[in-house]
Amino acid sequence: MGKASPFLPSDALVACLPVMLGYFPIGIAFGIYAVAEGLAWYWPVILALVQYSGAGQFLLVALLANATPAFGILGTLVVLNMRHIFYGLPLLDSLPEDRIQKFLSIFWLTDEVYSVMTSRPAEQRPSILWVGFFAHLAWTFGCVLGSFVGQAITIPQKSLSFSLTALFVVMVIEQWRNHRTMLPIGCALIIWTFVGLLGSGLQLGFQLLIMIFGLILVLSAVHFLALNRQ
Amino acid sequence: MENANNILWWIVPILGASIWLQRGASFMIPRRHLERPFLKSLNRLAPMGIIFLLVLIGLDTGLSGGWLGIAFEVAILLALGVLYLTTGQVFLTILSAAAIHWTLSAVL
Repeated sequence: MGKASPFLPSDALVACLPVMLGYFPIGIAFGIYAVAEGLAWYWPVILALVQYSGAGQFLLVALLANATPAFGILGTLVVLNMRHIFYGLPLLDSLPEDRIQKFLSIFWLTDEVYSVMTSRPAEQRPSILWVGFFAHLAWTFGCVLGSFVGQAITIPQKSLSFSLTALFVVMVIEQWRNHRTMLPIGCALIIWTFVGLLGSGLQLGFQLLIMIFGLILVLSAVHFLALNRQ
Repeated sequence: MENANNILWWIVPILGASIWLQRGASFMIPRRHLERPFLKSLNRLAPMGIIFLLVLIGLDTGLSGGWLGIAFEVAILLALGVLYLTTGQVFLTILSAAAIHWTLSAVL
């Protein structure tokens, strides 16, 4: 496993530029949102450096804002990031041999880096290490800037929450584009209504937790039912 | 959110480690384990459902009270969905959402 890429950092920069242009403004939005939700200014930066997961970071702040218990946050984010488990498969030969470079390349393997790498034939791929580095750089700078902008300006909390909901709509659209199924949306709607009716006395964080695990149970049941029918 | 700031100190390293393990799974775990249909099916369906749940619980942002308010917000979100499908710009979509909400909450 592992072949040294013959491509230079500049090739990776050119390949990664569209990703950087997308990451930077969304990083700014994340920094502003996290600070407006009451997190200390340094958290967007630490999250960008340590967690480094766009959707995961937004989701983490949304779950914290809804007072979701810590184990629920961990479980939810592990399920959300499950897709990453499969990302390495087409890139098995693109990893560098050096252990530190390999460690970093794996950490930097986001949705967009995966797209940049797999949209080219194996022999024309830029260095995964450098593509990942430039993408992370843009994201981190966006978060840093957003965290400072978030301290300097005041955006009404409700409007900010609404823009986050709009971001989640965008993510749902992207998921639908990739998978072309309405099943999770139907299941989520039913569970939301059910928990909303029966668990209205519960704290929102616990309601959300029940909804998420209910959803996973229902989707698992649907999978096994479909399997039995076959 | 003071409690959230405290939770983050211990939850973030775990999240960092878990995301690294997930991203590196295909380099570490034998392929036959990764290709189990259950895992693939859950990976395909669960994230979409979870994110949609967050859309649903994020609906009541106080534009106007009750179900009418929620219907109003759904209409705006649908319009924003169309904007995203047309332009493909995430940042423009979330910026428009904040601007529309801010304007309407000042007017209504």
